[in-house]
Amino acid sequence: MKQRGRSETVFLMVVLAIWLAVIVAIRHDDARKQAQALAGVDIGNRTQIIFWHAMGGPLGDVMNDLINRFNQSQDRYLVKGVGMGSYDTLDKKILASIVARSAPDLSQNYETLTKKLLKARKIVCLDDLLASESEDIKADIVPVLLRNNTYGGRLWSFPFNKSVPVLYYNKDLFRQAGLDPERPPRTLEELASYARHLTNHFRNEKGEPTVIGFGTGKGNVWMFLCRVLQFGGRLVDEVEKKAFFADPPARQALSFILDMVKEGIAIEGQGFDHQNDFKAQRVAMIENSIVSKVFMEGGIKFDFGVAPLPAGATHAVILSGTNINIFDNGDPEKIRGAWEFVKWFTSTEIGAEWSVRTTYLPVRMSSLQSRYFLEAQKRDPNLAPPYVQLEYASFEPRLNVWFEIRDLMADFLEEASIEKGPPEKYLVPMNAAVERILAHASD
Amino acid sequence: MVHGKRFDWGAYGYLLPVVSIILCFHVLPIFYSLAISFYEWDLMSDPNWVGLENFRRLVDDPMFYKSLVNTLYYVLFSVPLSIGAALLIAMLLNHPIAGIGIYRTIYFLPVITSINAVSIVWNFIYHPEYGLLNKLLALVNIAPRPWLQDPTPLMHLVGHTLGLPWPDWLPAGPSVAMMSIILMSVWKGLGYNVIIFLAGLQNIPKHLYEAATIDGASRWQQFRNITWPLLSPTTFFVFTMSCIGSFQVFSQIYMMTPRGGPMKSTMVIVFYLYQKAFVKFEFGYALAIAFVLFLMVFALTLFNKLYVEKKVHYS
Repeated sequence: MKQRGRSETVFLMVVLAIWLAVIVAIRHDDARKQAQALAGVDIGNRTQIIFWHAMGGPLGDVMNDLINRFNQSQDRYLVKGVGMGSYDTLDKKILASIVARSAPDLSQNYETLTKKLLKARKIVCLDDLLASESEDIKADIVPVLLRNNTYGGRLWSFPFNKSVPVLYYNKDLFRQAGLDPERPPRTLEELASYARHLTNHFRNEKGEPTVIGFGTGKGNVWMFLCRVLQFGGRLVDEVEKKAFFADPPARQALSFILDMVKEGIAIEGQGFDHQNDFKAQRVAMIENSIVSKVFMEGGIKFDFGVAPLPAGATHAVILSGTNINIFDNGDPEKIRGAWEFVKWFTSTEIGAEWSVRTTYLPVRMSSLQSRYFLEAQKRDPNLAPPYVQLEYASFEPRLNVWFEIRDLMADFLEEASIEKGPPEKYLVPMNAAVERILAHASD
Repeated sequence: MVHGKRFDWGAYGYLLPVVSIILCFHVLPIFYSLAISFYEWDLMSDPNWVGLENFRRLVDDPMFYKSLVNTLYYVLFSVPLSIGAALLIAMLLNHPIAGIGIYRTIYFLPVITSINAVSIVWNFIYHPEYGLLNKLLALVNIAPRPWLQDPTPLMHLVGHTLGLPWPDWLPAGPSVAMMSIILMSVWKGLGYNVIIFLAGLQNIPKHLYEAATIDGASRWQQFRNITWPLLSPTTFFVFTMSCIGSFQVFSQIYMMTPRGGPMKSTMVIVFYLYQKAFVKFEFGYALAIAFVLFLMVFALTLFNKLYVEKKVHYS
């Protein structure tokens, strides 16, 4: 008994020692990273700017790198980036921080939250800050981004990280199936016929497809909305409180994907499943945000291409991602510092670098013409297609009830994707439900 | 103080820390949240008094009923499954066999593992294409299922397998997705109940079994007439705690079906109120739901205490 007690003690001591060693190592690593980040930065009398963001993985690395470079580029402000992991968490933390009266100085936000913050008078109007600039920054902002951030004629948030959806396709599989790898599908009809051709080409002895032509997300609202616009439809009328999801373009949008799935030439995956299927060469083409490129690239062992989304009756894409808000915490120096950071971050050169390294759209048109940007496009032709879509890009309604509507639409689209019945079975009640929410939408 | 006794400063001093923690972090929040359920509040603007409006809205909220039914399914399936399995394993582990400590540890491991980590691992197990479960089923020629994405109700599945269609007007049971989560939860919580049952089993005097053996009682008779009645205080405790815990199931639902499952078939009450509070920022409404849940759990526990406990045999 005594001996067993001793060996247990030894075991516990060893576990404790390992545990302590791990903690010390982590602390040491944190300290080293922090020291590295602030190398050559004299923290001295700087004003601290707290910046909450949702950039993780490779995007977070680029973000931290740029924040460090801003801190090294001047000696008045110290921006501290805090990654929140996801937009969802960020949203919750922002609201909690408002209640606790400890909001950050800067944060990435969706339009609905910007509107809430604007109503509660927690954020700064960017026009006031732009007024003291000698350069006409506004004239250089990509027009659709400028419109996206303007509320009642005034700029209440600044464009920051918006992305567009694109078509990814496997050039190797295209070659094997006898398709021109430099000629991706340009229309939705072509997309369907390419998908059919690819699926039929890759069948095993039993006739089962080993590659599916096209893949997308299950009940994906973003892609559904893009397709409604591509088929020439409208989304909602905010003034008349009307929705157009029972109209023919919406029906075409839904049956387009349902028909392909029923035919067996497309699959809908949960979450990022279709992205993994593309990486594993089980799906030849997928639609997704251009930002997925950054996450997929490392794992892709084949030649792949990026193309603008195929057009229906017309070309259309909807922006995704967030803008940035500067909070009014009562300290003009912090507001000044936050603005200096935003200005630096979205400037022609830095904006171009951010865009090339993350594939987010640059804020300024001059970034698109910068040498850094043009050279990067020469190196990687897959970087160019998103920008072709800028001229017809639009954004989703910025209603305060929009996320509620989106959530509801996801439920109906999911039902459609599971049952695969006639489109009107889901779209007619969905439209009615959306209009019920619109009816009690306040501004 | 009373009857001329000296006021015992020491005793109250020792109680002070724990009482203040319970007051601040349990009692006050309960009353505070009850108060907020009478308001409309989005955190950002000032709370707006609406009286009983939130509770009135609950009455005609179809999603509330759906979440209620889903929760009941969860409770009805997970509690008996968990108690049955735990009792069986506890009785097996109650025998002196070689390496008993290792078995007991293995059964207890899931309990001390973070529910989030466990959920992520089970997400892989249930994955429709790459999941372990479908791969194993393929070995015995059973068609793959999209487990966590499958809204088919259990009784439709059973009816389909037996060739008997399930009538529409009858409740069709939890979805495959919900059953998948129930099985995972039973596995996760098993070890805890096993330990409690083991303690209960070891409290039963050995001489009763000896006497029964001498009288020629079979194993089943011994279980029926000795183990089961003498274990009833333990069973009652496990039953009550499992019921309370099951009504409040949340983490695994959130981790494994982040949108409330296929066709909202894993949307349980706590998940619904979480969505209302922290996704839609309707705090008043969410707290009204929370209060109704509190009343239900309270009523159930009271019922257990008053009626079920009568069947409990305290030696």
